[in-house]
Amino acid sequence: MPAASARSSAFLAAVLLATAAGAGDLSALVRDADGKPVADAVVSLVPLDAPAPPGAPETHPVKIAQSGKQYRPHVTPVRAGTKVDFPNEDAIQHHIYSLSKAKPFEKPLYEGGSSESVVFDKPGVVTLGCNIHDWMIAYVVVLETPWFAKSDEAGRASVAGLPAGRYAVEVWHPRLAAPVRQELSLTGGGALEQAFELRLKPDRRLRRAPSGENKGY
Amino acid sequence: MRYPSFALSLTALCLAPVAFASLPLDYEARAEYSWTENIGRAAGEIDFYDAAAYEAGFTAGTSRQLAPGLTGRLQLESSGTVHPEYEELNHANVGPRAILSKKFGLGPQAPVLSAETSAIGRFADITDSEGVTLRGAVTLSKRFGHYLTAQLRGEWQEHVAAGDTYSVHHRAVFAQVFADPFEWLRVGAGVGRYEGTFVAGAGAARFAGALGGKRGPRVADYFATIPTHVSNAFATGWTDYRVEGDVDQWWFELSPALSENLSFSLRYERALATNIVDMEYGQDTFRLGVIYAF
Repeated sequence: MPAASARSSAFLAAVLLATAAGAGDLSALVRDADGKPVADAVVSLVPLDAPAPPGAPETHPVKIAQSGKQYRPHVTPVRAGTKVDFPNEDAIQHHIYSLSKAKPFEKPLYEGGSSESVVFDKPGVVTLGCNIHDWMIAYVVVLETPWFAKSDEAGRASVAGLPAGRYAVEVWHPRLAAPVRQELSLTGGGALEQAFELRLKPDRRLRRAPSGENKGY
Repeated sequence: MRYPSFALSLTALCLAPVAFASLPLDYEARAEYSWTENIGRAAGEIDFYDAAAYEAGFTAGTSRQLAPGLTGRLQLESSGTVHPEYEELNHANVGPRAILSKKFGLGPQAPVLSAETSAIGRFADITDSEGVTLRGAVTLSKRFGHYLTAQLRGEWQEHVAAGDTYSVHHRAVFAQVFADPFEWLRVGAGVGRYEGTFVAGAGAARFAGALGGKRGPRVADYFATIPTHVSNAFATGWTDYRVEGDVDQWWFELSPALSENLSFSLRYERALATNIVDMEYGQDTFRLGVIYAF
């Protein structure tokens, strides 16, 4: 069977499964070991009973802006094949590079007011940097599954429209040594609340604040 | 107006952004209070003067990528320094600096080799010290891990002044390390060694005594050959003089950051200069600074 046809069949199967059993929702609450909400955690679900629908690019524009000498947002989950725009909203030039296996690339310095784009076609975590401003860092989490969400400031991440069945749930965060994985089951039409506790490493980023220099003798 | 040089510097400072108006600019402003012990660089304790100084500075700069991994930067620097107790030491600096940086690879750990050159004008109450400071320097920086950075720097500098006494030059090497144990705190330390000429000073009686042989014939013979200038900086008859020698310098710095743009700097510096007739000039400086990057 051609690959495209196989993917279409899998997607159809998933849609049918969702229709037949009723779509469910996952409401995740992500907290750290002290019980404080954790933002920027990516919660993704991969079905264990049926293949995930084929990866397809996002239909809405995905944007990671260079603004105030930072990448905003800090973490961006996308489906494999998604094009991400990198508008430079600062008045100065910025650069983008990645040394990550999932997408090594480099975009040389470009002016404020202009934009570059990159298609993230392989699953994995892509760490972005700016070779001029070393403190600038962002993560693109490229996923094959369409079912994912990023936690907000309250630590909440919601994934809707999940077909009933068993799922491998993965929670990723830049400060985790390794993703947290567990299995859960959704019944048709149900809403599941699930809490995740993450043991995060300290948030130690590169210093951005200015420093003085030796004035000589 | 008593301080025309400050007016000139202030004008240049205000015009700096205008001069670069069409370029994508970044700015940095800083202010500093310092306390220097033996600010006059005297060899004898009886001539030691300690003084506070207030400095304000502003820098406007622009960076461009010239080739992959190669960045050029041009900046205009200006500063003014006021010594409330010893007004003769007041001065202002303004001038351009150009920096070419080659980063060997991508990422924070990639080593960076920078070459820079600057021509900074000096305007001062001691008009003989006014002139242009020309500097060339090469710096190699390497970050080890996320939080430790080492730098090696070689520098050549020449100050071309209105008066011979203040026309000095040096070659210097520096080694510096700094660590960021937390994002909000930088701890740094460094050592440096200069070779060349520098300005020292003495009260009228001590200088006359040295010339007369009170410090021995070697000093007297040497002092008879060096350029001098009676600046009256600390007392009537205070004499500045230029000597050849070496300077060993080391420093320690704590730099807490209050935000992404604002940091403080607490710095202690020790310098020990030795001239070619083995006279020593120790100097300690404590600095409290604040820097804001726009």
